[in-house]
Amino acid sequence: MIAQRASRFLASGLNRMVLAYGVALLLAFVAIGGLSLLAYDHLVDRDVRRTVRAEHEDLREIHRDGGLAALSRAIDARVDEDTRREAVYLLADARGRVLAGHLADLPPGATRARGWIRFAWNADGDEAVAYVERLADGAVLLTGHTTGEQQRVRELLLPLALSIFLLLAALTLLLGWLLRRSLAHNLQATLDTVDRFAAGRLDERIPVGPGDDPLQRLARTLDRMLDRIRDLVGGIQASTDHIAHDLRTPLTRLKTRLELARRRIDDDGATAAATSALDEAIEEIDQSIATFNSLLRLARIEATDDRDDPPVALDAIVRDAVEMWQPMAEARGGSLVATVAPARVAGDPDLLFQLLSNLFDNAVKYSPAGSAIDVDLRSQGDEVRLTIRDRGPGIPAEDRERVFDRLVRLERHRGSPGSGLGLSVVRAIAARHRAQVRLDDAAPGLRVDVRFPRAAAADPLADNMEEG
Amino acid sequence: MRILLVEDDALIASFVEKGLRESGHVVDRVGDGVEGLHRAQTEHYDALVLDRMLPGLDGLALLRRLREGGDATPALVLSSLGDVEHRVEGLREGADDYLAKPFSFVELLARLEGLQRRARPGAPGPATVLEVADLRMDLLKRTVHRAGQAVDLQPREFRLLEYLMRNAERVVSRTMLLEAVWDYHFDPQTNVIDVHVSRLRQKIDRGHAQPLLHTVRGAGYLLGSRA
Repeated sequence: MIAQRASRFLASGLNRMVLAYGVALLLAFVAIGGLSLLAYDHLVDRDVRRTVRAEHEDLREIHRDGGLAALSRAIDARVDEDTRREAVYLLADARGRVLAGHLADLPPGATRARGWIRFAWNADGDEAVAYVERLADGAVLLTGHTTGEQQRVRELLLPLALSIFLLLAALTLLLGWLLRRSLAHNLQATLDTVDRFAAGRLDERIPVGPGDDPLQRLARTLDRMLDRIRDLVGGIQASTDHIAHDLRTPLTRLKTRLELARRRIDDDGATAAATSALDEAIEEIDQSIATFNSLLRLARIEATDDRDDPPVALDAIVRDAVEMWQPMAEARGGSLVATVAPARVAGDPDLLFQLLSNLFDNAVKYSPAGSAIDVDLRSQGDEVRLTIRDRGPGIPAEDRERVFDRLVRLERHRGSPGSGLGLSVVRAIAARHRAQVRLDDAAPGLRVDVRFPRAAAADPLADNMEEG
Repeated sequence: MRILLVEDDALIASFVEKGLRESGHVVDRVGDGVEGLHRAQTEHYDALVLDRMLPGLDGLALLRRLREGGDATPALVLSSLGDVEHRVEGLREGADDYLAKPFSFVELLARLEGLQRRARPGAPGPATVLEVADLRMDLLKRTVHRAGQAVDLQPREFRLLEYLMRNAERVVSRTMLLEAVWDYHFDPQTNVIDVHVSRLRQKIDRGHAQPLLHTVRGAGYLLGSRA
């Protein structure tokens, strides 16, 4: 669960960036803190040793001038004077008997001729640094200093450093969160605008501020791109209208000529062969006109926006479509089996009916005789889900994207009637309603899933009345 | 009826004119919008057939000018722009019906006659009983009898038959049926209407010597006693 959330958190580039920034900041703090502590230790240690050496030389001179007894007295005096209890002195005779100083016994390592030693000083964990020397008469002189002060400073600094570290970590998190929020806030407006544009509102533009930061530059560039897309779409729309007029008029004339000829034949009396040839020609032309109309309709659906779409009861439309296609399925020995729950989507009823009609047409066309087609409509969370499942041959995985392209018909269906535009129209209508179409293997058969964003019921009372 | 035809395409115009004459109507034919408006304002017609794209003044502008002047002559607009939004636009501008090119003449005729019937003043109020030959529909009781025998129909079949009976003895196109009986404006792409009509035919004609519901090749359907 936590690992899952963490990996989701890390999946965002922004989160990773903020996290890396924070970690770098904390590492820098730790490095600076550690180095300072080391340098401090080193300096204090050097200072202590200098003082200790000076003191030691002092005592050696007393020994040289006055012998062991004078040294012993001097040490006793210094022990009394040392009110801060930081100095360490010890004098032992050649046989190791302690003559004066702080210690009851010689610390380990104190027997060597001369040199620095370090040993535990008290139960608080304090240590002592000392210089030992075996004097000319065999006596051992130890002059030192406890590290208690250093220890105190460290004990004070560590919690302080830790608090600053934690504070810094908290600050980093807060800054990261603020950065994320401000970025998300700035980008949200852009994302919303592009979303609305993609849904067909070609006049939407991203608000651009006066600055010259990358975000404003991005907004300006995107706006230029949106302008260009709008111009292109406008061009397509205008040229489709012209194509519609320029090409359909000659088609109309052709059809008119054929119908005139057909009527003349009826009047004059002619062979059945001639009549049926003309009928077939008229049917062919009707078919071309139908394909042509579908292409035009497709272009129009893709170019229109959904600005004014009110919520409609998709369940009622599905029921009407099922009713319309049921006789078609029954004529082939099959049936549509519908499970329809109330569901509202924002949309255009005619287009939604067209979408259903195209899907049912396909399902009926490719179902084996006598098989059922399942139709299921339900609301799930934020979406409305339409599922249509047939028992036909399905569509191979590698073709499932291609079948949505214009005029694409799979090789094995070439012989059957249809324009190859049915699924293109389905996809265009779905896109217009911000819905997603998915094709899956239902083993056997094809399952089509269309997921619409669910529309809020405008009036819960009205909804209840519909269901009642 | 007396019809004004405003169409700049000579072939289509002559085809429509000839067809209307043969069906017993009087036709005035002009080729541009300004002339069309002048004719419509100065003479009396029972119906107007207007092309949308015309030289001089386009069909919708012509119609708007006419409607602004208080002229309510039923008008049918012809256009290559057959999409829903154009249709809606056309109807808003005052057209009573809208027909996309290419159309078949029978459909144009059927729609014109439909307009005429709707526009005729003093027509009897909505009938409660429709009768065609020995087929009888009671709109209040929602029952149908053929030769005295009850026919059981689904609601949609009832609506389909009602429309066919109201237009008895006339050809009704598939598009007209779609628009009148189903509440959606869409392109069925296949013969789904035919299946509904053939179901209805099964129910009303089966077991009767004289079929009432006929298919008219290349045009649509006709309900009536003609052979």
